[in-house]
Amino acid sequence: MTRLLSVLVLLAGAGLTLDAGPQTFRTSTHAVSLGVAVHDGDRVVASLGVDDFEVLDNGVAQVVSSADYNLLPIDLRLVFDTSGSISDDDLSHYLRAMRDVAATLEPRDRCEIITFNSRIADAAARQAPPVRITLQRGGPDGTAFFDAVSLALVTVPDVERRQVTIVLSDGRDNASLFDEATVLDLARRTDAVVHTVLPGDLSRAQTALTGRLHAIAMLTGGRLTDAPHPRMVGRVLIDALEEFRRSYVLRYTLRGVAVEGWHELTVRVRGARYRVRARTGYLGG
Amino acid sequence: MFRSPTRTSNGQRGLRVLIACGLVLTSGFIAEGIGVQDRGRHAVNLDAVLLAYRAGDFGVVARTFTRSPDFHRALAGDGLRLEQWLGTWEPGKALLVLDLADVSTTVAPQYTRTLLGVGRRYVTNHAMVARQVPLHATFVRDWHRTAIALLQGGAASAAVDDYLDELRRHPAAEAFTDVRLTLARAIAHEQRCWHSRPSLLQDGRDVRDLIAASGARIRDEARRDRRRRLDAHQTCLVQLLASFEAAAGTPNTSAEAQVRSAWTLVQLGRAEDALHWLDRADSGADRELAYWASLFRGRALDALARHRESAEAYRAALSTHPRAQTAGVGLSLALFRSDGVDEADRLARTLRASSGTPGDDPWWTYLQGDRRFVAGWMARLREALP
Repeated sequence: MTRLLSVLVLLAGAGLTLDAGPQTFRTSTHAVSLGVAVHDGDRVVASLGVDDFEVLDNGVAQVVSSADYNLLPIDLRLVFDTSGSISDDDLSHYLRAMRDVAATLEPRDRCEIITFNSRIADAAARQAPPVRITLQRGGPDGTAFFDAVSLALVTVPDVERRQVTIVLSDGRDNASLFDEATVLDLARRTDAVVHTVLPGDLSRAQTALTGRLHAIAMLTGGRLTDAPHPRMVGRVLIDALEEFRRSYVLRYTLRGVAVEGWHELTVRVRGARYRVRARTGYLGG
Repeated sequence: MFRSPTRTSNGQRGLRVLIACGLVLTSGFIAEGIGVQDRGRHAVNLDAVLLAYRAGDFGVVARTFTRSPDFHRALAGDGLRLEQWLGTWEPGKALLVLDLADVSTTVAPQYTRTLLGVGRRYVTNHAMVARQVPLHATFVRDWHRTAIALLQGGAASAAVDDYLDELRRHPAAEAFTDVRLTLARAIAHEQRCWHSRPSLLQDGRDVRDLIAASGARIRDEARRDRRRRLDAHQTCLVQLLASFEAAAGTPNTSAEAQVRSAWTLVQLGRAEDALHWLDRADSGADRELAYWASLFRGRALDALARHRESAEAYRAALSTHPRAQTAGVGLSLALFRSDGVDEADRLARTLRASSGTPGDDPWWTYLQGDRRFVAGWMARLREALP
């Protein structure tokens, strides 16, 4: 069975070296599918072809066989912290944001919405638009950020679709069985790009918590943004989705590198000083 | 006044309840649950509540205070009024205070500590009188256990410590020696460690590099603070192990102390040691304890990257509590990390779609210590009433 590892890469040249740690390999083939977003300043660069990209997989140059731009349908997964610290007013803003972002989906896209406090629940099971949303609080009070985000990172590779997960949370946790190490491990394994959105002002947030949100996004090829006011959440989510939609999917067959273990990725655009955003690597096997 | 439990016929008990309710109704007592309309006109008539209570209508407390939370009247002057009303020793009054505290945990948690403080003074001050009959010693022991369990349910570790300190300072402290209270103190310690968990526990190179690459600026003083908090948290956990050791030496609490020690070891990164403790712990017929043991075994195996074995541990946890979401999350993650991607995804969807109640998942009550025993202990205390 051929299975591709979908990887969206959003920042080339980060120069990260990651300890792979103990690994279990989920794939048996060597085909890699990789998402890449390219910007020139704030402008999306949408006219690149196969030959424009340079991909290094564990330092070895790969031959890119295709570079599709906005061809595949999207599976969007929204994850919202709705724990007790979120006021009813904020919750109503969140509901509006969910509806706004769902309204931007194309008919071939799919959406699911997950909420959490101590308990993790669907506000909308995976479905094509129009999306029916049932938002309600339930379960004991508490914030199981690690458990909820880890579970949201469980994805099935699908070469016919692209997966993006957007997490809205301040990163606090007081109720999870799992921990930061688990979330980061899952972030290396998931096939989705994860954007994280801080409900608040990033410049005033605790750096340790925003570091947590940064790390999850970085590992998966997403980025951390903030929504200083609950009214802005919808706009931020739509921007993140739009950025994901306007990105490339590169494909290559792995060569010159052992399949097993952690693969550090570097993606560049030849002959240009574009900002290329990428995930830092993936687990092969 | 306090006698061994005696059985009354349903007819006798029903008659008593009828008479008591009649007295409550005619007393001007605020009790919309039993039909009185003059809400707020009179202060709480605790005598009437006690009468109904002693007649076997144990629901009178919940009915009265859940629908008309009037704790502020009963507790005017930091419980002074309640303390004056208690007066001479009567087990029924002591038990009624526990019921009041139980109701307060849901409708007026700010009063729980005050109520139990008044109750503790009442029980301890009359403990020697109560202990003149052997059965009373059991009553007093169960009363304190229940009181502490109610404080644990509110996740107020400081309140538990204060309560235990007051018992220890009492002239008749030896009368209150109970290994369950040793475990309660350790659990209060566990709560403090849990709530002081620093962020970014993974202070390794991976996280540092990722944060640096992401552009986040962590000031040096923030780094130092994080290091200090990490060290303090580790120290807290190491000391916690010693606290559990004290409770692990007694048959009644050893299994739970061992399971809780294992979870502490997992948090300290000593997964192999945790498995060793779990192998020794015999949960017996305690289903919650069996669930926790399987859950922590799964976490320890995950930490050792033995994901197939951890999946089995989570399945074992689900065998005791099939609707428990946390064990389901563990199983889904273990499957995801061990070639079971499709099954992991299916399970994750099922978990999110399921409705649940707090009782479904003992993980949600883990830090509440003995709160899970309150219903049983209250029933036993009521059985002991004349």
